[in-house]
Amino acid sequence: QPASSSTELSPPPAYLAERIALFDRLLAEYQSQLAAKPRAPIK
Amino acid sequence: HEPATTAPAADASADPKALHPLRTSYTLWFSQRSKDKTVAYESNMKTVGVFNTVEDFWQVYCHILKPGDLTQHSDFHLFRTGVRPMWEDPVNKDGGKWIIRLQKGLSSRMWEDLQLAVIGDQFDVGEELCGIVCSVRSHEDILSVWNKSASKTDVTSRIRDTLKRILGLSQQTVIEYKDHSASLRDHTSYQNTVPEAR
Repeated sequence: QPASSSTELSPPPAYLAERIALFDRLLAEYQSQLAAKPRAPIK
Repeated sequence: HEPATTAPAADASADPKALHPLRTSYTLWFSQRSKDKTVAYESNMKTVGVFNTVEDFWQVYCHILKPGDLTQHSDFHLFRTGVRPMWEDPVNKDGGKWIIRLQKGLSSRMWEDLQLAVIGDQFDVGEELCGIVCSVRSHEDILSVWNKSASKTDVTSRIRDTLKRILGLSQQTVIEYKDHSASLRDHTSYQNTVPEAR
């Protein structure tokens, strides 16, 4: 088996791109929630 | 080829407040080399978090240091919940790992990509994937991917190819494999490895 052959599906299954988009969206949502939280000094 | 019934509810997006379950629960561990060499490996290991949903993962990830921020000899371990990040664990004992050595400065980005690929199921080898490790060392950082059966070359080849795609390595990049049984014999994690010719 030549080293350049791939065992992966080609083209890649659609769920990969969908999941990446979902992960990105949830990260952005969490970051905006964090940014909206009040800032209080630590005593 | 995975049964559709184990997948998260397809219309999870219908309810904007619904959490997004991972197919498999993962646990993040952290360890740092102790100055006292007599301390057992396992007792240096601290659980950082257990992730059952995408939301759980980001909630921890956004608040912890990245490998590139660390200077001490340290390791992050992300393993299927229930599998300890040790060669001796019953799930790992017949396994091995792919090893990728990185020059300094690349690990934070690559560790992020690797973690997301694991919890997002991109490797598509089911329970064969045991966990991943990011090792911060003084002159290099090392990523490794542990699988359950070192002898199953169809599995290890699939993991190698996926790994190269995720990290953007060319197909010609040579990476190394080491069986955990060999690590148990020579007591090293990253020495005496076998360059890929599997």
